[in-house]
Amino acid sequence: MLTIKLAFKNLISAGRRAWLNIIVLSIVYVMIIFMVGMMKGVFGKMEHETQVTEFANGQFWSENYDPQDPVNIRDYHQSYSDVKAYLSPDKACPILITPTTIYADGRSSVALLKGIIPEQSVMEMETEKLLIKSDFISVMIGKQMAKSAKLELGNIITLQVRDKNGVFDAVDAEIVHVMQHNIQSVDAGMIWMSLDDLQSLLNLKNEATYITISKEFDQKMSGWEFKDLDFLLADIKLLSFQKQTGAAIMNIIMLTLAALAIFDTQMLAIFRRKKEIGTLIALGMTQKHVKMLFTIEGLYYAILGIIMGLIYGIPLLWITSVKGINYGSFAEDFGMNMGSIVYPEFSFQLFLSSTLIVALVIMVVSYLPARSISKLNPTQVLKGK
Amino acid sequence: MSKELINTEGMIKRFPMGNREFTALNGIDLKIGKGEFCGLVGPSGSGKTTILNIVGTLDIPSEGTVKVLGNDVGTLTAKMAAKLRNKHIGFIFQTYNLLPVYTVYENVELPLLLLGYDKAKREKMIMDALEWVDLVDKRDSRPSQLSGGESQRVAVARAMVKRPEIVLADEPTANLDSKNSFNILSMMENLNKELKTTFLFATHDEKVMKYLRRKISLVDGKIAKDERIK
Repeated sequence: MLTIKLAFKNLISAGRRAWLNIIVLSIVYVMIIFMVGMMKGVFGKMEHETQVTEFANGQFWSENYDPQDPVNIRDYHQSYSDVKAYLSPDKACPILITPTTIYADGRSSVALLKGIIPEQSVMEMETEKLLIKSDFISVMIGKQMAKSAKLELGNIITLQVRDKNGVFDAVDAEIVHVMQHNIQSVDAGMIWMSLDDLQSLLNLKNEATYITISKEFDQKMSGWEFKDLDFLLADIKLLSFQKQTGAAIMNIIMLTLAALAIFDTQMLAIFRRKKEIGTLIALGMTQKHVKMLFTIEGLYYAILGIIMGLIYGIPLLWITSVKGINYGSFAEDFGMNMGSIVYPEFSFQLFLSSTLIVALVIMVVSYLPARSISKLNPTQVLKGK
Repeated sequence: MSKELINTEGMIKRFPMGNREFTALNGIDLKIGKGEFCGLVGPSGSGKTTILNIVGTLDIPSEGTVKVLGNDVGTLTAKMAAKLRNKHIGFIFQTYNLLPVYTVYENVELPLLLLGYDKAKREKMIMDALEWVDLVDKRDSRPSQLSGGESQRVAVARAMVKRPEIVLADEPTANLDSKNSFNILSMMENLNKELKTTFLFATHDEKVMKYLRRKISLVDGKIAKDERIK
């Protein structure tokens, strides 16, 4: 108890250098929580957005379908006639994909043409906009696609496709809607049209590349390979892991810098306060006792840094978690399904683990220089040598 | 002869110096009793401070036995030595060695905190000690606000506050002018008489020598002369 009191008194009286360390440590502590919370928020949102807009509760893939193989994508489809009874716009939505070349204003670009049931509610997409009447085939695109292909609402474009027999065909389509979200996986390089229109165009009646299902769907469909969310979200989870590892390295660097400052302060304190160490020993402390005193002094850096961090960090972090952080147009360039506003996720476990890690690291860096006290000769340090 | 608090027999202390050893104390036999006011005198390097360090359990002899209040210094563990210092031995240093971040009151309080005394008892003892050294009005000052004489008086109060059996003072007046030296020595002499505390000085200051009732002269780590002064 005495050591704790003395250590506190020493720290409080130590002046600006100590307070500077405490401020730096508090900033590092808040930054660590913020960065981890941001990562959790970004990837949590990414997983959620991807799930609700693209994967729903899983997909049944046609045989050999490989989304990573755009060259042969037009060949990956099969009939769902046998399972048609199970399909409904709110439970299971078939999607047909084929490559297309877009001609607009003398420009041409390639894209994936996706057919979807406009009335579907399995995925959170504004597919009902495909029901907007037009003199041409109604299609919709995302804002990324609009930007990259220089397209806009109301544009008439010509889509060239090859039907099931390999015969080229071309149709005019009107862009009746531009989706404003930042979900890349249903936006970049994609044009959406009604499934019926696409099936007619390709002469692929009752054929789909995959079928996306909702939670309510509980049928088994032979001939279709089920892919659950673990499989479908594996890439995002891997990316999340990689990004979080990167963030962890940043956190380690920040914490190391703060720890180095405290280590340096402690080393200097032991060097400067040799006479004090000798005096404390002469007054009846053991070297072990003095060592503990310096270690606890260091630990107080952590405690005060954490308390200070919590005082200004909790309101700041709370505001960011409620209001979110608006990435604006930045989000579009991230290439991730994250939306423009990200809400960091700060859990009690995050606070607890960050607190323990910071306290532990600072205690270790305080203990390391304090070890040298055991090697000091009391009769020499009394003279300040 | 009064009760012996310090008893050394054949005390030898060697220090390594490069590949060789330097003998700082060479067979010191010394008996110091309760209430003595004695000094180790001699030139620099004669072994005065080394004796204080060993008697103060901050160091151990290389050979011989040193008993302080019946405890064999050579065989004490670090914890036992610390306890002995804490309870029974007070130190006064040439450079005062006050802790700069503490007030006068807190500096004097430190030995009592280590002894685990309660607040009321501590306060009473601290105020008594500050009265002995006439520094009650400076209780809230920090060492940096004190003069040299005042600082040394605080050091005396800190050494005396726990009423130790032995006070070891290493050149206590070396940094003080004549007036302050006189004050400090008078104060210590009074405390010695009043509380029967044994004082052992290491000094080569003539002013201190005038107050000593026993003068132990050291030359090259040996006792050259041990005289009692009336």
